[in-house]
Amino acid sequence: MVKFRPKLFFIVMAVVGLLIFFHFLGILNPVEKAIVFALKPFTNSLYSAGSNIGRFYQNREDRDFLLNQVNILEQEKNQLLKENIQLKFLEEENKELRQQLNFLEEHKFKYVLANVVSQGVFSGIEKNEKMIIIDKGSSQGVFPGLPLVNSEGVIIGKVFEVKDGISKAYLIIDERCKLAATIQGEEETLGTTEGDFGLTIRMGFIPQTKNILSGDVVVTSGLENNIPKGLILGRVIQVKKENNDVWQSAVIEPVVDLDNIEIVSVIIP
Amino acid sequence: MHYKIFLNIFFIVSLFALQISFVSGLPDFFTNLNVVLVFMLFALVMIGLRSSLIILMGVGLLLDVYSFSFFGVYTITLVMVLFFTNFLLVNFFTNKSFYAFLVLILISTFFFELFQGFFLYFFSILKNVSVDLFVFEKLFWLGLLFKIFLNIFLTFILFYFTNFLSQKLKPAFLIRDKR
Repeated sequence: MVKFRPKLFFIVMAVVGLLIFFHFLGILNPVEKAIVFALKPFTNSLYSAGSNIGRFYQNREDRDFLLNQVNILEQEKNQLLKENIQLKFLEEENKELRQQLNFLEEHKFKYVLANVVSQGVFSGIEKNEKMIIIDKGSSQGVFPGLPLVNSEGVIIGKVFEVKDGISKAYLIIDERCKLAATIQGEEETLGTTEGDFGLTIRMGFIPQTKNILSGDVVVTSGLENNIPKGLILGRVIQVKKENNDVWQSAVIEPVVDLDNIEIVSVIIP
Repeated sequence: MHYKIFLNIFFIVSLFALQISFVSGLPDFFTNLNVVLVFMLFALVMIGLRSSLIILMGVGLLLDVYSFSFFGVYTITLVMVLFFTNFLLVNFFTNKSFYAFLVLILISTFFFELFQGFFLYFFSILKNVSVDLFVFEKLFWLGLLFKIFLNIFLTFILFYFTNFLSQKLKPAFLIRDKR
């Protein structure tokens, strides 16, 4: 005979239904706030621990890869010398960019520092979702549409939904994160960016008359409310231009590693 | 009594923080791990339905507090999977063997993802958000495969560890009597 306890099941579902009802009435708000506040130390430290393991794993892969590269480079010495000179030039340019990027202090932006407590766990049924949850919400002045930047002022995402003590943000490599962008040095908006398969960024709707080159730095154009101009998105790695198309597009590579973000700043207007 | 309450709170908070924070920080492939489901299975066998229910409901509610989907999705899904797994355990997998564990974790992972997917899809429709039905997405089935693989692997490790500490589980390989 098959055993089943329907009475207990229905009682439990009734309790859960009641809790859901109280949540939508707002009765559970203080409890939820208290829970988020109390759990902050645990979520922050455990996310940090998991992130360090991820970084260690990534470093091991990088090391094996580099060892392989060294073996190849030993056979191509002249090519290495030439590449080294080019790399030195890029290093100088990168250093200059970083000096420009004492951003938060120089530009006197108001900001809220936040810890990342989770990354992409609630991806559910949405494809290629690249999102993070931070431990600041509406109580700290965060609202949807605000940009997230790292310590160097590079934009890494945009806030999409907020609760009292936490917020959900999509990273710039997610297709849901769209930004008005331009090339560094240009005044007007050149196009819009959106994430591409959770790996790179695609910039579209660029007029055919604009000249974009590989290596150009893409920044926010300031067209959107609450997103300042000049936040670096990434560097152009490929330009797609067909003569009979109205627009051209570009593939942009982020300049930061978006896999192990722990601390972000939310720029408040 | 106080000891039991403290233990329940400890398990609820630990499971929740492990799943939402620690696992999400791991390299991409390992974020498919669902420690809550694996714990649920062992808890059902070791401490019974009622005690597991309290812990699972607690974890589900915490997940809902941190989720931006419809409040209650994770609690309802976890409770349904718990009752379903208990039904299978009590009626079809009574020997608590290693193979029973592996089959149960496979089934519970499958139904957890399916129930969660349907709830989220249903609530996306209610919110007027256009979403493709996930059962037709290749990525969903690939992700499910990874989740089943990782959950089975964790169950495998935990089974041996638990068997070492407790007598409640049958050994992995049943030794045939020599007659």
